[in-house]
Amino acid sequence: MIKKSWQDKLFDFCNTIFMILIMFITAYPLWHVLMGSFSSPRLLSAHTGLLLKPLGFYWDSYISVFTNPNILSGYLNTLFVVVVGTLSSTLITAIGAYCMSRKAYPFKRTIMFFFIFTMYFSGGIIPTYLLTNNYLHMGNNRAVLIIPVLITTYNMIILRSGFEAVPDSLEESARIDGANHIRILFQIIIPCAKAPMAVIVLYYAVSYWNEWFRASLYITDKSKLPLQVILREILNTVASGDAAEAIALTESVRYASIIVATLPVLCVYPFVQKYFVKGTMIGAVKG
Amino acid sequence: MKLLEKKVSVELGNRDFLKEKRKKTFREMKRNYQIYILLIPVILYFLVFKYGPMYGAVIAFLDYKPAKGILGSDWVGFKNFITFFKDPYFFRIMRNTLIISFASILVTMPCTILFAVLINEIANTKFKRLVQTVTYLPHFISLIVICGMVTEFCSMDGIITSFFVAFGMERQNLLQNPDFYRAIHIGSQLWQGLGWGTIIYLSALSSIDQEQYEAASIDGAGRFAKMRYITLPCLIPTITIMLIMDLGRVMNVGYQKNILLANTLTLQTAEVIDSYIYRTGLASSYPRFSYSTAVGLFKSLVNVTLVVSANKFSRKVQGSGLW
Amino acid sequence: MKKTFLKRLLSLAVASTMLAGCMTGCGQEANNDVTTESKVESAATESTVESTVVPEEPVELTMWAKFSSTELKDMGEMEFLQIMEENANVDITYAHPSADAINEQFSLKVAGNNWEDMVMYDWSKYPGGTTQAINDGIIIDIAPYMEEYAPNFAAYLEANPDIAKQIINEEGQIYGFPCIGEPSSAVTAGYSVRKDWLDKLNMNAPETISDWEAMLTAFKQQMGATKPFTLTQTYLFKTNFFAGAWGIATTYYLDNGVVKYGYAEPAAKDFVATMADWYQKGLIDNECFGSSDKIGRANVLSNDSGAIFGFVASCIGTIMDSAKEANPELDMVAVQYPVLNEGETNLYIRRTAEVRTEGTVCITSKCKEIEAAMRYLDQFYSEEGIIAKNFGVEGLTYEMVNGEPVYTDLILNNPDGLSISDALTRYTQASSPSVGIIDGRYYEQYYVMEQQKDAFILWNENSAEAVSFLYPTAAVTTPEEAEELTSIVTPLETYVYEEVAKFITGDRSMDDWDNFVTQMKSMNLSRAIEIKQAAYDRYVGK
Repeated sequence: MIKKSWQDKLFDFCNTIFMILIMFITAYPLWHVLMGSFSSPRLLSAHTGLLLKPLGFYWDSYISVFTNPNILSGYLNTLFVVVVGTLSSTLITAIGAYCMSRKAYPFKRTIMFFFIFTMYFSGGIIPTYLLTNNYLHMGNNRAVLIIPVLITTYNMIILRSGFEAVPDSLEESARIDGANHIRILFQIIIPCAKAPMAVIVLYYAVSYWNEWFRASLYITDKSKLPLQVILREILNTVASGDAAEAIALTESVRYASIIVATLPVLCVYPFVQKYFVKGTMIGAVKG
Repeated sequence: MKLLEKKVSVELGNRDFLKEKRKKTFREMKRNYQIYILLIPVILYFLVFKYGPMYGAVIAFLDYKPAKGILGSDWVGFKNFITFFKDPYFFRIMRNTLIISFASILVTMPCTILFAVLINEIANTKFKRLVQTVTYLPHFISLIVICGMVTEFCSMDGIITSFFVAFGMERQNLLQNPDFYRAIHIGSQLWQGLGWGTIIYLSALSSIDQEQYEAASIDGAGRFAKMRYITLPCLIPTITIMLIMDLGRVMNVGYQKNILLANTLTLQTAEVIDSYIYRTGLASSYPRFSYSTAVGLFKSLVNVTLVVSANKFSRKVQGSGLW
Repeated sequence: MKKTFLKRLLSLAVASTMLAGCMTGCGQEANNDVTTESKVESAATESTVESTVVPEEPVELTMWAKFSSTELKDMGEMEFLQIMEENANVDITYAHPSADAINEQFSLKVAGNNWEDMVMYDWSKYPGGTTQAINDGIIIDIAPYMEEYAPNFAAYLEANPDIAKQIINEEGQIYGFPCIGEPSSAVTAGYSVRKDWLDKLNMNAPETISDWEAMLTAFKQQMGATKPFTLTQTYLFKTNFFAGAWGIATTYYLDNGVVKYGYAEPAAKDFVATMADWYQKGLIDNECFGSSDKIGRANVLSNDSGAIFGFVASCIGTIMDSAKEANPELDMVAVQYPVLNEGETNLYIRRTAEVRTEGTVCITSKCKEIEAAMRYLDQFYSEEGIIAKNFGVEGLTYEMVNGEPVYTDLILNNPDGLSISDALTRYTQASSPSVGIIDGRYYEQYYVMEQQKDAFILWNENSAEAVSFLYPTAAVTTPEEAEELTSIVTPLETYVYEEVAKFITGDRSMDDWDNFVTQMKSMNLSRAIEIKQAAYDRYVGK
């Protein structure tokens, strides 16, 4: 074991203090929301400044959220979309990234530009809707939340960089052993690029989880709406009419919905974290 | 005569060369046939869902009336674009958009990279995970809530204001001062996105071979030396890609934050293209489909130009780029 | 090597297809389940309903409307609507858009041309307005059918020519069945002030501008209010009703039938100078530019403010309600829109036009059963229909007491804990913008607090007179004019608001006012006024 010099120790100490500071600053928004969600709407209305503890102890905002008949279906729909969507997206993105990360072959650059161009030009809401709804008849179906958004070019690029970083020697030795591209992709590249894979799994999962606009546009059947749309509807229902209570309630219900929507993500994240640990590559190539 | 002969022979030479090239290309394609097959579903997806709807971009050149549809609406050529360029506020919103975007990249990118490197240096795994989880949190809080907090903190007796007053600033509502708007806009972006932004860099950092660090230690390199000579150079490919992609979003400063944080007093520095279109589009009872599509196309054009130039530059300097 | 590759590719393909199939399949199944479910439900309702009409098959209609409810699946489950459907012998299947994307979904319907039989929406948002919608063939002109199929509505229009003017266009076409509010309840917002402070200071409610200045100064100096008058930037210079004291509006208004733009008028200089003076003296909330209604209310509750502009329910109501816990001493009183000199009247008030554009039901060109649809919608304009819409179902949500409808405890003291507003939304459509006539009597019972009742009466005092001053929202421009107007107004308004803001904060000296007016006029203001005038003349000339 190489001993740590005093400079290293000082650095670690300063770093730790710095991290704690940053954590306080970045943790505040969620804390504020958490405290607000338990606060009495009336007191919340009158409150200005930092919110460090709940004003009164008030469960009703959560009750508003959880007694909504669609909340359960909202969770289930979102769960479905996140699991199926993330799996499918990751799969097809990996295929695309893999192809783009191989050594030069004819038209590789053209195809790459073909993909990248779409990051900058799009048809807009109306043509996309007409295509998806009228021509492909995908409207009002959970598939519409997944298939049209299968690949995010941005993610494919990230994954491509990750695949490119895998040493060529691995691919070569696999080829010598007679492996074809699919085997190389699934048995060598992906296992060696766990970190970037984890990144795009995380990105896709979060984006599917957060999806609401497209759902509110395409899906008219309440039982098929994902969680975020249900939560927004709760907010809108609470805010309808100009009742005194409704307005006050909106704020704390908004906070409660954020907690309800965010907590599951926070629980999942630790599972993904382990892929971001130093040195996942050790032992892959010897010599 | 001789010159003509030379020309002809060069031409013939070229033709042969091209023939050879084409033969070589086919050979290469046959060798890589698997890749092309694998690419089929991917390309299909792009064609249908990304390129398919692009016909809608033509709305920018029409006087689009939804009832008439795209085929029925009149062609107006560049009229919508010219209306946009002639708007008295065109220069202001272009300027603000570009300044906010570039400044944002200049500030957030180094901070995020530095933060990622520092997180990576944390020895205790549990603490490291804690830091990561906590700093990711603001990313999930909706913009409305974040802006509500920013409005609070920047008010006359808000904590950020008080902080600066302690350093001698006159007590005022920070959000009503046009000179501060950009800083607040970028600052809140940093607050919300710092943690989440480190993901991509942490992933890149985790793939750096540990042996290099060990070898460097043996050679007597300290923390900072290691960062300078190992960590940062290994990050450069990732940084380049991220930078090029960010440059491609320069014109896309969204309208939401602006609507939430800016007000009449700060419009001179705060108003960007999207917020101007949004604000004025809502105020009028006449939804301007063609106009906003035209503006969107213009923005995309600028973005693409930036990306292509950045990519060319990167290829020259580094040898590789986005494509 | 080739073989294994192709094999693997095949298995990959099969897996993907299964995945895709599963996704679409799951969707379809659920879809089918829901449709059968609703069919069963509506069959059930039909069989339990007793019909006094000759029993024939009820006509099936579809309607697209905005609707949010945590309890009910769709509008069709509202009791009073079920009775109305029964009376007209129709069976309506509802489709509801997501509240968030309602405008986008509407645009998509226009683009895709798929419509239900009836559509409830703010049709003024349709590009070119309702007239254009008729010309484009999306909705039908119901004028030819009025006599036969909509006798109640026809009678109402005849009895109320002023309102009819807002509905029938120049060519005599009628676009649909709008939401109408009675003129006596057109004003639901105004200025209110801390009564408990006035009492402490021994002052009367302010009437004139000088009263206001004295009061605000006292609030600041004696009550320690840091923001005596809390406003949002909208109410400071976009729609500042104080301008009415000087006889102008901060937008387009009428002066004996001539359209004028307030900020271009000479009186604007005095008005803005006063506002600037108050702002710089700290009488107006110096943080108003970034403020919101919510922050304004918080200011009042935390004793930073003593005067505010807002609605009867959301301002007075919310503040008084929160005050119960947060600030028990607090009391609010509504004051009349201010004037320059005693005895004058301020006509620049927040008055909503009788014909509300939101909540209009139009019959689309896709409707095959026009008679049935019209008979159904016509009910809302009959006496029984008005009561049903506003008060619900007799015996359930209201009782007739001395010939007047009085809400039952189901609404006023809901056993499930619903607030009055929520109960009203659940059982009636009194407070939601929807087809029919809003009965002023509902306000009397909805505004529970004394302060609210008083405010409502006070603010509506000059409602009728204000009509001659306020520019009518029903005066619509032609589509070509609309486009031209937008391209002028977009930069013009941006300029005006920014400059006025600067005058108020003192960033620009009032001496510079004339330059400002000159610049404003050079931005084609006269053409904008011309267009507005033309629209008004057309509206009045009917």
